Amino acid sequence: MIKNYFLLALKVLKRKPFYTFVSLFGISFTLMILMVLTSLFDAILGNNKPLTDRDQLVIMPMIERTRTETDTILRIDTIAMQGGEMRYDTSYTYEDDIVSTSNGPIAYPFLEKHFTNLDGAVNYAFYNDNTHIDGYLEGRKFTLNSYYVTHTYWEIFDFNFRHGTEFYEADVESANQVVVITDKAAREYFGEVSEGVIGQEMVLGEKTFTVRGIVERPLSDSPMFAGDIYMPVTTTDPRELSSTEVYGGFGAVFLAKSPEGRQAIMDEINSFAENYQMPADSYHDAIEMFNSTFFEGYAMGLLGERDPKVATRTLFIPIIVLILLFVALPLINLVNLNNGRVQERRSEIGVRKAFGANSRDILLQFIFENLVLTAIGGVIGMALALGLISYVNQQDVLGITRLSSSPEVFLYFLLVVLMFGFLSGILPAYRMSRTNVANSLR
Amino acid sequence: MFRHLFTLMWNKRRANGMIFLEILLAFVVLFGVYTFISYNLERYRSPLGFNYEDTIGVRLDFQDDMDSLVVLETQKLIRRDLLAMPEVEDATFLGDVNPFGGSTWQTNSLINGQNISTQMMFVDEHFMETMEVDLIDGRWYTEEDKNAKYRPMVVNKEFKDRYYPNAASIIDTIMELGGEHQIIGVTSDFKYKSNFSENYPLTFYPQIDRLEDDDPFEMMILRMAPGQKAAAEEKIYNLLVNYTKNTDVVIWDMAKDRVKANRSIVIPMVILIVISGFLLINIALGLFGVLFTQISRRRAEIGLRKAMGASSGLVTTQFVLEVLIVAGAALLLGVFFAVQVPLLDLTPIPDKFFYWGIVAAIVTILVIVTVCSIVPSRQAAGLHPANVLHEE
Repeated sequence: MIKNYFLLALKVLKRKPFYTFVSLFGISFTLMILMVLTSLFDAILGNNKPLTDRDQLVIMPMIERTRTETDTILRIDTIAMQGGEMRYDTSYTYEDDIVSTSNGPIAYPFLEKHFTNLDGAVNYAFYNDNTHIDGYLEGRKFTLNSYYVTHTYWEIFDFNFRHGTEFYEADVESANQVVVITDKAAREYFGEVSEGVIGQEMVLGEKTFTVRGIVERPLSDSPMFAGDIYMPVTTTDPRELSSTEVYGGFGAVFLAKSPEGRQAIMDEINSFAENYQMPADSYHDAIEMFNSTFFEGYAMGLLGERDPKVATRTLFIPIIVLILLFVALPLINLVNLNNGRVQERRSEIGVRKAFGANSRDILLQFIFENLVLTAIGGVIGMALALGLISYVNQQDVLGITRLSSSPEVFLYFLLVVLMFGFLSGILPAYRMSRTNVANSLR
Repeated sequence: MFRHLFTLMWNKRRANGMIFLEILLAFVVLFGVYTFISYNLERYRSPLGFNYEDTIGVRLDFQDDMDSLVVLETQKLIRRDLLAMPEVEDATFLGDVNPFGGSTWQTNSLINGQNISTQMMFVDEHFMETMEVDLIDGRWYTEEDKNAKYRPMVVNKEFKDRYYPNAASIIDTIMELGGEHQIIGVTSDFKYKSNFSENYPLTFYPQIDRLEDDDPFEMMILRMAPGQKAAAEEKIYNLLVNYTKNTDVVIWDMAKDRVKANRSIVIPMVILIVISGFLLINIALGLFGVLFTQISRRRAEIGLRKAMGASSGLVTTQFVLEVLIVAGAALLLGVFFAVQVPLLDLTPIPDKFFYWGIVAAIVTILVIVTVCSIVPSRQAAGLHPANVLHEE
């Protein structure tokens, strides 16, 4: 039966090449776009390594310092009276006014002192992400984005180690000059990614570091792990380690027991910031610690928006609406085409019904035919998408971000293909299955 | 004739529902895409105001224990040695905010009842020549301005246009903007973040404003002889490491930074254009197919009309108008929704871009619908009544 339907479906497709072409064009293109988008979202926001615990993280990238002064506010209200006469109301009020704000990363000693034992957090990590190291190797220039991290960084972010290991608490305590590098950095500096690189030395600035491990470069370019090389926090600039200020070069990330536990950590951070007493000699008089979940942090970073809720809304709602529209249009188009196609086969349906087929059989047949069509389109779309993904990744079109082509992406893709075929087939098939035998055989 | 067609279309509203919906959605998508593109192209049109070709950026790090006089002296020596290199044509020092660097420094002040908001850049007296900035009024600051009664500042054209549109000149105006300063020059249009950034009021301050916060200029922009960018890099690097006793020296290509800074707009724009281009082709082909079947099912009607004396042109007009009525109805509904966006001020984007978006979307859709309906209609109109009526 199925085989019959299948052969019939192919015959029908061959009979009207123009319609088949138009349908396939729409289907394959739409599915390609969907697959590339899925892959992009998976790369940026998916819980791939090193973000396996994505939904348990609270990110605290910045501190904001403010100074509030009570100021005289002069307000002049102008009222245009009837007849062109103007009236002015002048008023003075005293109001608290934030006269200066300044925000940026946080000082390491400040983090060390106040954020190592939050009640809600199972683990924490601090990282400094704002340095580049330039150098020359046999006349060839290299630029490495360097991160100074605590040993707990490797516990929170489960990087995929290709060779070697991470560095441990003892390394950080005694400021050992060891470094974990990405495969990209290894290729750039040593020209190879192999076990042999482990233990070799890298001259970075005036210091020499020993390679401890090589990790796979993450797909996403999140500022939490966009580094090429990772060094123990204690090897950073001594000025940073002895700073008595609140601002510096570090960000923090906390791990909650469960996704629900994140709110408790954020509340704890906020309450700390509210009650924090700035030193008397400081120009600023209050602080606020930015904190957010992973998704909120992503939206905030991209839009430069302060409020996590607003940022998430303004980023994700338009994207979702846009994607829905982009899917809906080809879908409607396909329904239109299918309507026409099915109409032409009225007499065939009439004959089948006259010989005893019921409406359900007809419905199934048409949906099946449509699924065959979408499946073919899906295969073409997938081929196009894979080509596009590998092109994007090879050329580094998106900067650090590379598109993923993981099994999950294929699974989503399969679901989308089935949905697409089903949705675009059901309406025309339903209409047709209810055809009156007498009318269609006339 | 119109009334007749309206009735005809209304009677077939169920069959036309899908086409109506398709055109409505297509309009919404196009409206959004056109608005986004026109808004960004308008921004792109406002010039950067400086020349980034053949320039490199450099970041260095002076030791913290150097006092400001030593730093100033070192800066002079560095500049002298760099200019002595044949590859380097000019050099300027600047503060934390650099072109295409992604950071912003902004200040607000209430001046004579007017809230003045300006972006700030901290640059030295060689910035104008090195970056090839045009002045439309006044002059750039020089070494001597350090001892002037008021500290100098230079503003861009947008600053004057936005806050003092009617003044003939704002040179010598003294205002309390990031400290008391005297305006001594006005540049032509100048924006530094990216080609797509807003043309925003901007003020240039000299190094002295940063020195009191112990924050000397630790960035440079060098204008290189054409084609010499890569070759001289290592020499420059070694020279700077030597002077600062510090290997924290980073050198980058300004032209590449510009591409990177533009990327956050260019990539979404290219994606949107490609996707909507394919969507349009898709819709056009689909519409073409649907109209073809619909019209060919009405062969008898066409035959009858022609037998009664209608010309081919009249038949074509009828079919095209039929489709245009459906499209027009969909567009009307779409426009009703679309105008709400500027009317309700849902976004900070100026209203005119939304109206451009609406007009452009309407034109595009009407063109596509007309083209897609003319071809099947003309073919149908060419039928010979004798043939068609005979079949029936």
